[in-house]
Amino acid sequence: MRKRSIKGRITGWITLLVVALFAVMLLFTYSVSHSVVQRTARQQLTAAVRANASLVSLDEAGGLVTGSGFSFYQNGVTSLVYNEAGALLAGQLPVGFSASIPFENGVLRPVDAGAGEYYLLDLWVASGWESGVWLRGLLEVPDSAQNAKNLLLAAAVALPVFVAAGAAGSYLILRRSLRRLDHINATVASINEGRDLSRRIGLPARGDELNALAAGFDSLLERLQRSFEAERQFTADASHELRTPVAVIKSACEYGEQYDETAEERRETLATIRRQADRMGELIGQLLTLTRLDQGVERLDARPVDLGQLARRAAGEQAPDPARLRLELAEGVVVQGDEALLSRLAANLVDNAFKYGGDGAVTVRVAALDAEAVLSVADRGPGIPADQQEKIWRRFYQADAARGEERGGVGLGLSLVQTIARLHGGRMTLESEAGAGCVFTLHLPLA
Amino acid sequence: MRILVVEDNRDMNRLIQRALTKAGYTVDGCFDGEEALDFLAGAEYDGVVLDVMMPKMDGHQLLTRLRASGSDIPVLFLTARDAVADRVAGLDLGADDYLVKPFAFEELLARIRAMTRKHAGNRTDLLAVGDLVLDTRARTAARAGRDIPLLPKEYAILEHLMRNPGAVIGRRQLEDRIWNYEKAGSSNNIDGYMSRLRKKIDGDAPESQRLLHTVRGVGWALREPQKGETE
Repeated sequence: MRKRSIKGRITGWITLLVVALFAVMLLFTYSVSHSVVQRTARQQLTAAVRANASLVSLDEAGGLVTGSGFSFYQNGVTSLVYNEAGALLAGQLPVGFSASIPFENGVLRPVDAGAGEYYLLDLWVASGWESGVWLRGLLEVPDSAQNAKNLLLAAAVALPVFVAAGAAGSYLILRRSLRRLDHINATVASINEGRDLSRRIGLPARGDELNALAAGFDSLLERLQRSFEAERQFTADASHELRTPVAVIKSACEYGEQYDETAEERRETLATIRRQADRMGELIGQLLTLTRLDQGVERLDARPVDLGQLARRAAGEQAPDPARLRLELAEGVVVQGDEALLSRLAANLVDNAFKYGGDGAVTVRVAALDAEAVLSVADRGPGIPADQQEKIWRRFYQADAARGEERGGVGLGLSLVQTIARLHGGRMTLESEAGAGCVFTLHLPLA
Repeated sequence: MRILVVEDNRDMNRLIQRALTKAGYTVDGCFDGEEALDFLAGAEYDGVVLDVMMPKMDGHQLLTRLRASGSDIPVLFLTARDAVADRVAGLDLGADDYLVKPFAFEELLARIRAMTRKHAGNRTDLLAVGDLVLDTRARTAARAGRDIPLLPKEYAILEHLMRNPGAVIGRRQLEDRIWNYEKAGSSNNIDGYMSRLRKKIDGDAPESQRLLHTVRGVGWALREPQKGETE
């Protein structure tokens, strides 16, 4: 099926417009020329009669005297002279002129004389006190039909030329202007078909609508590509993270099958397998939660939550060494949120503080500050250097180059924390310096 | 033979240690590159099993340091990174071999045997001094075709002596090689081991055919008797 082309459509409309304009022009030209012709005729008549009027007079005996230059037929004007009684003195009526028309001085009027229409102009030429002659001029009214025919003929020749020129011209201009549109279309189509998201349309930023469209597409593609990259990276990281415990389990099983001899040894091997299985379980659980949160499947069950009580519970459950825990929890700090997710957040922060925050005190604070509810977890550990503070929120990132395995960390805790904060309309902040501990703070709007 | 296992995953490290111990090696383990340098400075090892991805100092850095300091100790890389580029990098840095995780323990043991064998200049798994033959793969000994049953530590001592035929091995050296840090205290029995070994190897053979020699005040050596030599 042939695609409908915007160029074709616009060209079609323009062509119709050209034809319409042409027709209007034609009509206009015709009516203008028509009146021009008529007026010219009347002027001619008037001029001729006036000219003759000055050349005609009566002598003392009452005889007609016509000066030189007087013409009875000139420029199509027939001139006649009548006496005051209306009898024809000189001149000859045009053929077929049969009407008898009363005289009216100086009034140019059209008359229907049987065989045709005439312009008629009478002038009373006085001679002496009482006598004079009537000078009558007659001019046949020009036939417009012929005019029209000529015009139409010219138009018939000119119109196709105009139409062709208009159509071709508009099509070419359109094609040139819209070439960029074709380019955009072609590029997008090929990106769609292929798998290479790194291509861009790449029009210069010159500033009309098509460039803006191309720029919009390019930034869309940029976002798409980054999002796909992030997903791919995430999947790769997740697989890698899962492969390690699997490898250990496989080795342990092989060892157990081939080498274990005593019950003691078997127990040791089995304990190894269980530890690694636990680790995988935790990793998968966190991954699932993250994914569900990302997809919005895990719906926020938002209710009023007392942040202080939540923090107390979470810290109490999570802290491996309660002696190191300090709590400074204000009362009555209430936020709108999902209790399970917020508990998870608090637990992750406390867990991190104990795992990576050295051996000192871990302080959990809840307060209302500047119309915000804040929950902060502070440690006295090695802190996080400025150049890593951006990165720690990333999935699987751990400040130490290897994966911090012995401490059980998986690298997802902080990204989960940040996602939960975001979902609640809040944000996370970090204050830390290398060697000076960390303070992780959750900011939420007060309920 | 004494092997150092450097791997940051504790469970994996433990498993490898157990497998190597079962196979008759003396094993120590540590969890990062810095620790490994300390271990290597403190004792003599016959080989290193080295993980690449580790905190503080990774496998590549450790190997570079080692080779730069002139050590030609056999090193086997263990890693999950199986890209060709990674393997090439490791080998070019001076590793003797490269094993990708997950691996079969059998293969690990075979490769360790191969690299230590090469290091000792042997082509096969057999060591021989005179008519005493040691099969380092089967971990058995035989003299003149007759099998000699050996305890693990006895085997280890004999293997070390046979790898350095004719050389006098001191008490300290032997202790270092055959006992790891965990069992360091039990090397007092070395004299007991040596006398048992002598009985098993030389038995009732006449002096001219004795292979295990004591050099008083210095140590022991395993060599074919020279004509006319007496103890």
